[in-house]
Amino acid sequence: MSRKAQIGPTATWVVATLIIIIVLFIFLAISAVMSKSKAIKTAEVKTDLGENSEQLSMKTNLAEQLTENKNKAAVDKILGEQNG
Amino acid sequence: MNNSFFNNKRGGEKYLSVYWFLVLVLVAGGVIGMVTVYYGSPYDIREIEGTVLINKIADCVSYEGRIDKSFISNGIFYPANEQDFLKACHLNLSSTEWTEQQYYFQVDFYKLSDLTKSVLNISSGNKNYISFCALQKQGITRTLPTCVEKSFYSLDDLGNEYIIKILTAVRKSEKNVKI
Repeated sequence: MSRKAQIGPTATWVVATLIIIIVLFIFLAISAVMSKSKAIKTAEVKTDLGENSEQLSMKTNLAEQLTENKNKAAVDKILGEQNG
Repeated sequence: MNNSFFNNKRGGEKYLSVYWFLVLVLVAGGVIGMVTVYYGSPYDIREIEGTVLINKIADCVSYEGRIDKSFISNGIFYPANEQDFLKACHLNLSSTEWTEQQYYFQVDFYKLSDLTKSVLNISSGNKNYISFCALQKQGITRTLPTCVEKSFYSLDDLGNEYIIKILTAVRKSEKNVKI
């Protein structure tokens, strides 16, 4: 095989190897970014840790019932702003 | 000799086998790397921990819509001693695992008519974490303590209305974030 004829297949293999390396690096970068955001939020998970606990919304609701919902709108507005 | 090796079919196959083996090693190494990077970093559960602490404190402060009489009774406020509060609420913020205290909490009682001034305040834990809560609001988090703030509504024994705000801060960065 002549030298010229060897360049074509060699270039193909080099490009293929580079593509494999680039794809691997992209996936590595993605997994590194994903690993940084491995935070579990309260809303995303159900735990039995607070099973016996009266939820805060329940506490508010009970207190509102005791006042016969006198200031319900105002209270809900304040808590909505504070709790987000 | 070198030329004859390339020209030789068996010699070319030898090179190809080495190449495929190297590609295999490269891909396997990449997969191992991805798994190590992803599973090597811990799950950050400090927000859940902070919320659980808030629920525990809230249960201690108010139950069934009424504030506990040990805090407010007949319109009189009883500022709780830090240690007494921890004892009454069955809370232990110290841990043998850490030399420095990893938690902070603050409970503020506001009259519904005046939300600017706290009428009663109870706090315990590492006070240094308060300043980090402001940074968290700006979006700078991860290695800093995680702060959770929740409010709820409750009544005293005379029917006066209060908004109770509970703030918790949990550090434990080393166990929750890859530093």
